[in-house]
Parts: sequence; structure tokens; C-alpha cells
Amino acid sequence: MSDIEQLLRQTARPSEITPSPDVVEADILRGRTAWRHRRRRRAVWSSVGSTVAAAVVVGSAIVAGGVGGSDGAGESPAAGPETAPSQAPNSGVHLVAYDGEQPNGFIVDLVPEGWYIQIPDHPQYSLTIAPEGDTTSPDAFAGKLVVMLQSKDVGPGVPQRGDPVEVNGRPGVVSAGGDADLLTYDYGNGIYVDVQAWRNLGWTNEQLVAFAEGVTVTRDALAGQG
Amino acid sequence: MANPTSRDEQFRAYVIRSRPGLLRTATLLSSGNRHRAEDLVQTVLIRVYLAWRRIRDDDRDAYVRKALVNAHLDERRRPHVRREVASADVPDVSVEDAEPTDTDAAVFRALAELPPRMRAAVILRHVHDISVAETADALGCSEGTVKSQTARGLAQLRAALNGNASVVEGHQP
Repeated sequence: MSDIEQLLRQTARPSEITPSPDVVEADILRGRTAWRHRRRRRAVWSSVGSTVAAAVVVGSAIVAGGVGGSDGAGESPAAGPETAPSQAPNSGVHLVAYDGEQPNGFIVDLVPEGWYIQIPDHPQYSLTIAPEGDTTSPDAFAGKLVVMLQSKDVGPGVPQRGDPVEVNGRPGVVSAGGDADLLTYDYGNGIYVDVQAWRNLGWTNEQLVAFAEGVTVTRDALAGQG
Repeated sequence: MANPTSRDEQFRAYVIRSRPGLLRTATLLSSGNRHRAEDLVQTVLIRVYLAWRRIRDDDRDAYVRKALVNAHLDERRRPHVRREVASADVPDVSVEDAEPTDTDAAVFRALAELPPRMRAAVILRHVHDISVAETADALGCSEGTVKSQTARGLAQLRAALNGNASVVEGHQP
């Protein structure tokens, strides 16, 4: 090692081996704040985009001489306002950060307030989030929120029909099932994720997207079949 | 298996482990300006937090090096990031001003004479001891540029510090 290297390495040695808890918490708080700002900006732009898209489709339909034609184009304007943040106050869902134990296959940042993650026997296949007090099996999805990889016999890809959304800048679609809405989105690297939310809770598309943007698929996750 | 359960917990562990080293590198990049170094570290840690889910564990060091160098080289980003995260919620944490020794001060003065990119190349190569290829990746330049920048940088540092012979002699291994 040269004399100059020696000097450089001895200069600016950290005065403490570990930073104080206040410093660490301030770093986390700054990160969270930036994260919230970014999410808010995305929500605003998503809203603007939806409004503009809806206006364009409505305008096109009027020019074409009618709304709700047999080609299905009339469904799109209705989808716009549904995705607007103004719908959120009607929702019964309030997402909060989750710091509790999580199984191996999936990690979530947010959960509905007062809900908890159920640990299933095979956590690599699905993650179930249930209201506090719900002690039914993690494999029973009624009234809950479920995250899983898209089933092998369906994917890969997002459904053709439904409300198009973006999750972390990648395409997704919210489609309606019997009692639940299903958000299917491109996670990247050829992975598609399903988030199923029971509709009686009043989820908005924005809330589904906000929840999905906090989902991490770990290397342990496996896709089911059927 | 012990498994950190959220972004915050994983990030907290990362900050505890990595912050002192980051601050040291940032202090060298800032030629001893501890307040600017603290700004750089805070800026980089915000980016790391935002990108946490996208960065694989084995890519994290490379990501952080690049972010630190970019923040150092791009002055314009700093006020932008400050505006982004301005919040009454964020407590002000004072920067601990460790008293620099005469030797430290001489090294910082010598570093300040180097252009910012050359300074970064020297610090990454000769303090962090990372490869020429990794340094080139962090700086976004060719390996040849790294070699020439570090050679010239070391020569300039040696010339500057040899003017203060006691500094160099006092730190012979």
C-alpha cells in the first residue's frame, strides 16, 4: 500500500461504529416521506391520465353518435371516474404499514388497518391477510385479501378485460369476479401477481394498486395450478 | 428462519451497518466538508429506501456507490431532493463535527484540489479498493479513463502532500 493510500484510508475514519438510533430513525423517516410524496404524485398523474382518457373516449363516442355501443367502448368512460382518488372517501379500507411477522413467499408493506397476516402451511403459494379476530383457515379467502402468483394454467399475462392500471410502472388489470375484485399485474422478470380483494370492503382501484406496489415476491414464492 | 419482515426493518439494519462507511466516503468526496457529506448520505439513503425492493442484496453496494458518486457529481440534484422530502416530521439531526487532525486537514486540502470526478475515482479505487471495472461502472466511464484519472489523481495528491513532508512521513506504515 502506498503512502498516499495509507493517508487516505486513515482520513475521515468514522467517529462512531454504529449511528445513533435518532440518526437511523431520521433516515427511515426521510425515506418514508419521500415514498409518500412519490406515491401521491403518481396518484395525481394517474388521476389526470384517467380523466383525460375518459374525456377522450366520451368525446369519441359522442362524435360517433352514441354511448354504450355494442363494441364495448361505452364501458371505458365509466371506468375512468372509478379510478379517481375522489372515490376513496367512500371506501372502508385504510391501508397502514405492517411490521409484523410475514411468511416466506411474499412480503407486504401495507395492510388494511386492524388486519393481520395469517401464516399458512404452505406460505410459498399465497399470503392471506384477514381482519383481526378472523380465525378461519388461511386457505379460506372469503372476506380477506390474498396475494399469490398467477396460476400456471392461466398466465402468463394480464386479463384482456377490466380496468387497466399501473403497478410500479408496469401494466395491470383490475377485473371483477363473483364476490371479489382481482388485480393481476406484471411484477417484472416474467412474474405475474394476483391480488384478490373481497368487494364488500369497498376497495378502490387506487387502494389495490397502492397495496400491490408494496408487495415483494421473494425467491421462495411458487405459482399454484388450478 | 430469521427473516426481516418489512422494508423498514431491512433498511434499518442496512443503515446501522453501512452508514459510518457511507459517511466516511462522502466526507472524502466532499474534501472534509462534513455537512455536505451528511447531505450526500441522506440523499443516497433516500434513494436506497425508494429503490429498496428493486435492489438485490448482491447489487446493493454497487447501487449505493453509483448513487453516492452521482449525488457528489450532480449538484443540481441536491436541492431537488430537498424539496421532495421537505417535511416538518423529519427531525433535524446534528452533524457531529469530529475535530480533524492536521493530517486530515492536509489530506482534505489536497483532495479539494482534484476535480470531483478524479477525486471520486481515487477514493473508490484506493480507499474502497474496488476494481477498475467497478469504479468505471460507478463513474459511468471507461476503464481506461479510470486508470488515467487515478494515476493523475494520486500523482497530484502526492505532490501536494509532499509539500507537507511531515504529513506523509508521519503516516508511513
